[in-house]
Amino acid sequence: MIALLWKDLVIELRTKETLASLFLLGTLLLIVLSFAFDPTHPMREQSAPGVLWVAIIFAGTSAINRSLLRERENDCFAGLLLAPIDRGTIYLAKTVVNLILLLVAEAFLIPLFIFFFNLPFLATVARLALVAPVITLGFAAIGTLFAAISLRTRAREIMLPLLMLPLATPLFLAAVEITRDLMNGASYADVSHWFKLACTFDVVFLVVGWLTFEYAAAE
Amino acid sequence: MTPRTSTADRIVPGAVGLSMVAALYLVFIAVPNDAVQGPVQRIFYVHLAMWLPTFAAFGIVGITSLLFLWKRERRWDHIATASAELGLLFCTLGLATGCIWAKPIWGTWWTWDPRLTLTLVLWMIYAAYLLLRSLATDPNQGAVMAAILGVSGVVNLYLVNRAVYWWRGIHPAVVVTKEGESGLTDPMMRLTLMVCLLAFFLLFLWLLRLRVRTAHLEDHVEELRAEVLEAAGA
Amino acid sequence: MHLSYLFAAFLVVWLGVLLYVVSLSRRHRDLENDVEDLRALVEQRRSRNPPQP
Repeated sequence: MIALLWKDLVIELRTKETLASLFLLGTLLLIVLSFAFDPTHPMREQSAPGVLWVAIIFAGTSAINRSLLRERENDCFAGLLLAPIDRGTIYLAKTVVNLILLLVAEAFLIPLFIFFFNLPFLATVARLALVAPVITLGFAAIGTLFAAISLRTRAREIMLPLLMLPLATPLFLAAVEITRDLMNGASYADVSHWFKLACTFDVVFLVVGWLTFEYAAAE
Repeated sequence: MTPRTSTADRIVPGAVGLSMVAALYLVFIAVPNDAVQGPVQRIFYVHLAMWLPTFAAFGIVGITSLLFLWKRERRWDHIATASAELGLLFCTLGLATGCIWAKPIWGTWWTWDPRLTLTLVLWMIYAAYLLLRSLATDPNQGAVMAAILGVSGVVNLYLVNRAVYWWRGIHPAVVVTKEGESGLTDPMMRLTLMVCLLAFFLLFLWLLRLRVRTAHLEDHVEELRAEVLEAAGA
Repeated sequence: MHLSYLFAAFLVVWLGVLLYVVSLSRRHRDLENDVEDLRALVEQRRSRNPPQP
């Protein structure tokens, strides 16, 4: 599995295309969503957590789609499946790669978000530092599985968000609620139930993905 | 694979018809008006009757999807598709009747009530399931992928439930609870509700049977098409 | 009295179910026709090209 991970990461590091497009799309979404809400309105901060996670989710969806699409286009996938590797391991490797990509992107997007919404820098980063990995992991887990599925349909680009977003409802709600509460000064204990929900989601979908990826990806 | 006309085929439509007539009578003639809401409240009996098929169908999709992934027998896939279609139908009707009831009673078409929100997410999962099946490049693969979605959906339901309830709980601004459900004191009202639930559940079962049969036929047509090609190539 | 809402709700339910049943029976009928046609076609092709031993 380490070999798989390394291979994908190396490809990413060389081309950097997914990372670049992820960052740019995320930035664009942050900007457009900022246009959607009146910047002079006093309640604008209320929309901030939602804006951040919408931007991350939509940019992330696109990135995960691309990373799996690229494999298919180069027929690497067929080669990968022929190799005597457990399908579940392939899934985990891909999920981790997507997770790392997303986390790197978030490392850039969160400061930008802080900048646009005029938030206290260190405090926000500290608060989000624990939230982001847990949420992003769940997102990567469900995204990788359903990206593999949606690539086998006739409407690839639309299919992934369509499949993922309803299922990712608990994750998205957890993300926004935790972010909002932490930004309003709540302690980690206050949001622990959301954390547990997000962690449960992560575990559930990692298991589902690990068990069913071979069916999703079979040629 | 011609379906046998069993006793069930003779009894079920009759039972559906009978219970529907009984339900109609009860809802429109026999049951008294609700003291608070007036005659509009009668929508409630039909509205609630939509949810039993919706959630039963969802459960069926989950179980048959799992069975299909495990055993790969076509009939599980047929039941799953049929159930998903009917689940979507009843879910849509449930949401529609809910909105129509909500407008005169609460003054608004929609609220982000946890139950409504949960149902909306459920609707999206059903819709995505059916869309996935129709857009799959290979129908057999499509069945498998849809099964994965089906299992994911059911497994996820508890989490969605928790999330949606907590979401509304923390912001008590527009929390409205559905009145009338635990306030059915009149035995006539309870009877009406029971009969409506029964009538629409029987309807669901009947339609499910018909839809599964259609699915069998579709498979048969595909088999024949393959035979035609094979016979031509000889 | 809001009776129009009551009417609308029941109308929606009955129309919904009716439309679904109609579409389902139409699909069923078309499929049965397809089965007939395809069966005939198989017969025809088999008689034209008898399977080689």
